[in-house]
Amino acid sequence: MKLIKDILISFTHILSALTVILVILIKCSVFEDITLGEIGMMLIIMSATTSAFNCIIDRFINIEAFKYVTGAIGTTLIIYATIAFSGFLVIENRYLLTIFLMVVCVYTLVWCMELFFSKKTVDELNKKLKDISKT
Amino acid sequence: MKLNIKKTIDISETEITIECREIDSDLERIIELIKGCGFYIKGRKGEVTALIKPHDIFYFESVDDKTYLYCEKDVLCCDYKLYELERLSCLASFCRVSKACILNINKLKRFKSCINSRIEAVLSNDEHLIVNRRYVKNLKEKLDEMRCEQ
Repeated sequence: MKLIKDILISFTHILSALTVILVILIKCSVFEDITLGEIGMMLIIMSATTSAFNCIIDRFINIEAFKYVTGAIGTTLIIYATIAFSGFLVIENRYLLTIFLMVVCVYTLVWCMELFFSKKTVDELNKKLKDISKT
Repeated sequence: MKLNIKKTIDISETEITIECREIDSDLERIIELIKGCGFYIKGRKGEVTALIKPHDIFYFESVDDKTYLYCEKDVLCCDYKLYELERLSCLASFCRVSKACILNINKLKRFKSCINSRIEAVLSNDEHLIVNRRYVKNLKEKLDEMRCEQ
């Protein structure tokens, strides 16, 4: 039952991402110049596809480190593919490394922030627990 | 509040009488605590059924729609659902730490932060349980509540 639920959630994510991709590709053939709205749409595609990808990783990969590595590589490819295929920007292969480094930076930043906040919460919880055991 | 304790060999069963003008929140808590003293949770292990005192239980976990109670060494199957256990007043020292787990705070040794930013609860039997971030607020409130009670 849980597996069916997980597959359904992943399917919904993929479906929403595919819908947005389809919309942008149709729009792509009509408009030649990039507008702010189109860039926004492109970002939505990226976030939806990345979210779907991360959702799948989260469901099927249990090893945490492997999850991060796969996530970083996958996200890079998604961003690269979205920009390249949408035809808005001419992107060269050498930019792939730049995108990858940007993704790694974001991942590291998020990881550091999460670690910092979890440490802060743990300290707070331990303090409260100590207070209880003291009394 | 006056407390009188009489020791006598004439009675067969311990009796507690509370004399008061009105029942306030403090008294309600005491009554719940006294009621909980005689409360047992029924646990099954194969054909054997055992009555477990709440303070001997480390945590409850729900796996595949079945609820299990974990003692120091034993794991028993329990008839209650997690949401039902949450409502029992005798389990006042228990708190939900994830969707599938209710933990006894009295059995907590410490909290630990993991490298993957997850929070782990280390129990007195050195067992580790994951604390879901969604339930951290609830846990903090429970710890505060217990601190105030003491």
